[in-house]
Amino acid sequence: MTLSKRVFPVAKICVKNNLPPHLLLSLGLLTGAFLIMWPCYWERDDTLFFFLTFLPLTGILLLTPLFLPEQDRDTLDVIRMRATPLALIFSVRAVCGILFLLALPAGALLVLSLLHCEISSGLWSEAVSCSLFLGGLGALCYALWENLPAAYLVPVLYFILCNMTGRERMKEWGLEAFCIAPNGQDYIPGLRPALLVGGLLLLLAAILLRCRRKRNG
Amino acid sequence: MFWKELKKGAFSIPFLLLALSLLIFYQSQMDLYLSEGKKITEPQPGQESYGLVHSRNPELIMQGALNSLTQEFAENRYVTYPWGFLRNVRLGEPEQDKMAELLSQLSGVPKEKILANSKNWNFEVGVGVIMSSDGTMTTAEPQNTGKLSPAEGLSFETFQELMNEADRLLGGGTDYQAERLSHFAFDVKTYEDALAEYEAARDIDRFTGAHARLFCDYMTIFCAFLPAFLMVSEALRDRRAKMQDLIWVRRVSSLRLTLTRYGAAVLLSMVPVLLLAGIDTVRSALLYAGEQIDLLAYCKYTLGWILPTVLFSCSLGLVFTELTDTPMGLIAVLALWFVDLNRGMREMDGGYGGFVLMPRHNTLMGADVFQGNFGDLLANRLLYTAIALALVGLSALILEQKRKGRWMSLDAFKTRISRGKDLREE
Repeated sequence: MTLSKRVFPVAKICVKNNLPPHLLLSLGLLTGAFLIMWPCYWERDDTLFFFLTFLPLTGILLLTPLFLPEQDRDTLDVIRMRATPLALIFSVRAVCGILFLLALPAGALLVLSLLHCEISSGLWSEAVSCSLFLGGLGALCYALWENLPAAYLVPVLYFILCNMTGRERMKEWGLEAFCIAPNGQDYIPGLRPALLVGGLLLLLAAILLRCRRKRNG
Repeated sequence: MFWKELKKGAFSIPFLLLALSLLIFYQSQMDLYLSEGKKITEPQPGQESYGLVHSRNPELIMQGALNSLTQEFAENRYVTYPWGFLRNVRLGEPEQDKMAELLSQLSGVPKEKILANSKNWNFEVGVGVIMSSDGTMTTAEPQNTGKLSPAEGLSFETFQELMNEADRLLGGGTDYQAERLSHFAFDVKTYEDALAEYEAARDIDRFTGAHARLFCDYMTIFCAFLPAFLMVSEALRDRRAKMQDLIWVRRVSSLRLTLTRYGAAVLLSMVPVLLLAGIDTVRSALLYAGEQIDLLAYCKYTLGWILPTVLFSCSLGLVFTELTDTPMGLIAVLALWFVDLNRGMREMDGGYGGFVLMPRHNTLMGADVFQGNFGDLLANRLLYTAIALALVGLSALILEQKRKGRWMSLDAFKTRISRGKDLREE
């Protein structure tokens, strides 16, 4: 069987069955954020604050429940019996999640530009880096503990501690990754690319860990 | 059964994460409310400054509010807080024109002149609060920037009405609402004011009460959502382990089952907070050695202030989990928490009444303000406790229906769908 014949059915099932609830939640979150904040004629810093407050959360919603279908033992048994390797199934699922994760900030940017907001360059990539990192963190926690509430809790806590409790008080814990400096710059230069790479590595680690466990278990 | 639940919960990942995050948060905030620098000391006559207090002087308020509105008008960038979130509003030309009309009525300067001159105004002195790294706040006093002053003979009542109109034009949620206008002006505290505050802290709070209040103000922020994660994890445990059917057929009542699990989650959530409160009691006793302090203050405040929030957080997580068999409750709790947190940002020096999930009193002083609002706080806490208990009752009811096969749970729904498919295939 060719690779494409193995990949497409997995992707189809993922988009049809696995992703919709999480995607709906992400869309609900963004719609709520837009309705409450109603961005209109915003300046660069306001757009940046809005974007980096709400968009990273979509990563948690889309990527953390990466292994949710296999939580059901029967589903796992069926998947294990098939010829398609587990790693491929998880990777395809992760790629599907990432594609939506790339699309959501792009859509949000489009809406913001239609509402005449100033948009700084690199905003999309910043949002993607942050959401990928948080999602990767959640996925790894899920792979480690198989406990979805706990897996959600870690990236949520990380985000809250970084973003909302103030840089001055959190820097001694190294939790200033999501703090936004007044001029829109990172407090730690080069941190955003590191978050992107870190997010991908976390996802990779989560998939490998999960495959190893499921093969043995 | 309760001890079994307690033991399982105590060794679960969500509880360990809850305890760890409370500890991190406590460690990061404690020097803001309990340290040598935060010790309440008697003010001495002749001190350079005794701090600031919101003014009640209409003249100062009018000038301060007008300065702010003039500056925002010139920049066409108005600060508003719809749902508590900071949102900068930019008005279109017709609305700016209306605002110029309002400014004209407020200042007595013709609208055309305001519109023509506003582009050249330069605001170097703003009205604002500056927060330093140690958390202390200082503020720039309202000054006449030389741009606009209240019109001759303008009464405070008319001023309030016009400012309310400006608030409506901006979509609401601004500090120009009549009840928030005092935020634009500050008076310098006198020695007598500072002494009265100190005496209130000593006699009403017996020092520890003031610190305990601030402890609760901080800890409630995390206690409003962390317990829900523990509760949802515990509620989903049977489903995860495929033990639901085994437990459901047992003779134990649904109410007892729900209460046991809920009670264990609430107790586990409160244990780290009570331990931290105990540590702070000892630290307070050492800080105020030789003074008369209330050794039970932390315990009383923690149980009265934080416990109802924990009860509600757990119950909301529980009822959503019973309803949907998914962690959907977490989304509901986090959304509510986010809105409430942002709303509370505007009431840092005292927000207790109504439907406030996380009451705020982000200052050591103000024992008299707290005492004056105690009835509101009590009503609020009792309301949340009652709602929490009602939600637990509802959860028990849903569980009972699920056990009888009458409730359409996610599992039942999936089973019916797959049975339907099987039948169609046959």
